[in-house]
Amino acid sequence: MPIIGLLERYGLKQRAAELIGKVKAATSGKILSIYMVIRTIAAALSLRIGGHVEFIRPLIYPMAEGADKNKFEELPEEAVEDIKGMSASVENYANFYGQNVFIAAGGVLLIVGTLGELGIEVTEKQVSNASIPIAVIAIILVIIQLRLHDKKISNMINKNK
Amino acid sequence: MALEILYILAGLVAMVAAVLSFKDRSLKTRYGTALFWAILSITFVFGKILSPTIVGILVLIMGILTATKQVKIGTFKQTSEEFKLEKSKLIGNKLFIPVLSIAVFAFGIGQFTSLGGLVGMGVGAVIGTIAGLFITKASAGETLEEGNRLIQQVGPFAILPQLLAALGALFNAAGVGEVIANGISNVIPTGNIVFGVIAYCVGMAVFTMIMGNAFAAFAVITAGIGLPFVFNQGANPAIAGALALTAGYCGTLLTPMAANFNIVPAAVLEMKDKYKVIKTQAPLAITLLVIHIILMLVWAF
Repeated sequence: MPIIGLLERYGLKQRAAELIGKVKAATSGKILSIYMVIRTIAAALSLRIGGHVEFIRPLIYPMAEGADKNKFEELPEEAVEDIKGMSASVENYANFYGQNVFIAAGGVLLIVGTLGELGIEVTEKQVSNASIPIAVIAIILVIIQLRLHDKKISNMINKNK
Repeated sequence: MALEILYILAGLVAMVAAVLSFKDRSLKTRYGTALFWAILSITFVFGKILSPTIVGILVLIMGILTATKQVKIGTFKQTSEEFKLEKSKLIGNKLFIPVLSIAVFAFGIGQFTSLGGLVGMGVGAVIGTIAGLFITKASAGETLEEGNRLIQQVGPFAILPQLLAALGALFNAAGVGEVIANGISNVIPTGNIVFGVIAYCVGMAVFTMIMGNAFAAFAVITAGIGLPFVFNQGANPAIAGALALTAGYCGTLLTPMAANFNIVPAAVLEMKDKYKVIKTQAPLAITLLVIHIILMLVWAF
């Protein structure tokens, strides 16, 4: 813990924000897809890069909305609400399904501990390895959901024209 | 042995939190808070020597301190945003090296030696700290302060998994698991793997929705449904266990009880509909739950 705290003091989160900010993507769905991948990897390494208050509100959501505003000029209220919903959800998806890949994650320790108390021996390594497929599947499903989201927004704009 | 040394190191970090919160005069509950961290430190450092009864009493005292709101987060010297930004520019991507070294060591030692991932994690953390000190040119005192800040912020949640694991065992000993299992076996035949897996995954999701916390649900449902209907039927325990917990997370995505994840963000992003996050997540959560069931059936058996 001391080392992560120290790195935060020396700008770890700011550095990550700058790296993400360099990404130029055309739509909200694409920006959120990139965030999904980065955030899942961060969760798997137990890096605290993320959070609705720290990352989504000040950085990711404005980027996602900005991308669509650039593309379509005017965004109907419903589209803005959709972008907000997706921005908040992506943070949860990546956090939930990525974290157990980390070998000392709370969830991994819970599984090993609970099963141990019930007389079933498993190791942290086995559990964290067994958590990898669902993390990958989650990324793929979320990217599909974000593609549909992009389509929905562009349909919404076309109908209004 | 190696693991024991790391527990002692972890105990020392908790002791730093105890000393610093004791000295923190602006903290009203500094005695209670310091006691909490001191007890945690003692259980880490002397856990091997102390009798289980004494550790049990110590944990109970920690519980009482928390329940009576004696454990609060102290004040810390926070660096300014400008300082962080400036340092982050100056140091650049080298800042990621210590973090990656933790991951590399945890993975390397976990995969290729017999020491286990937790030891690798600890070795990586020690090496990462040394690398971090070189790269940031920070003082050792700063490192301790930051360790204190983070452990206090993460706070009592840091020890939740261990306690909940014990809860599962307790439920089992008290026969709660048996009651659930008997109720379930009226509906589904024991020995039918397909129904067992469905009951385990769906049970995790539904119970998580009710409790708002997948960890607590895991302890109860694993004792009640997982053990008799899945693990005793020959499932690979690591795979079935890992999938059961993330099946619970599908429930977390669907419930307003998990306010931190679903309701607060709607407010933070000023959404018109406070259930917008849950509505957005619902199709994905349900799809993923079905995938969990299929994956557990195919992969764990």
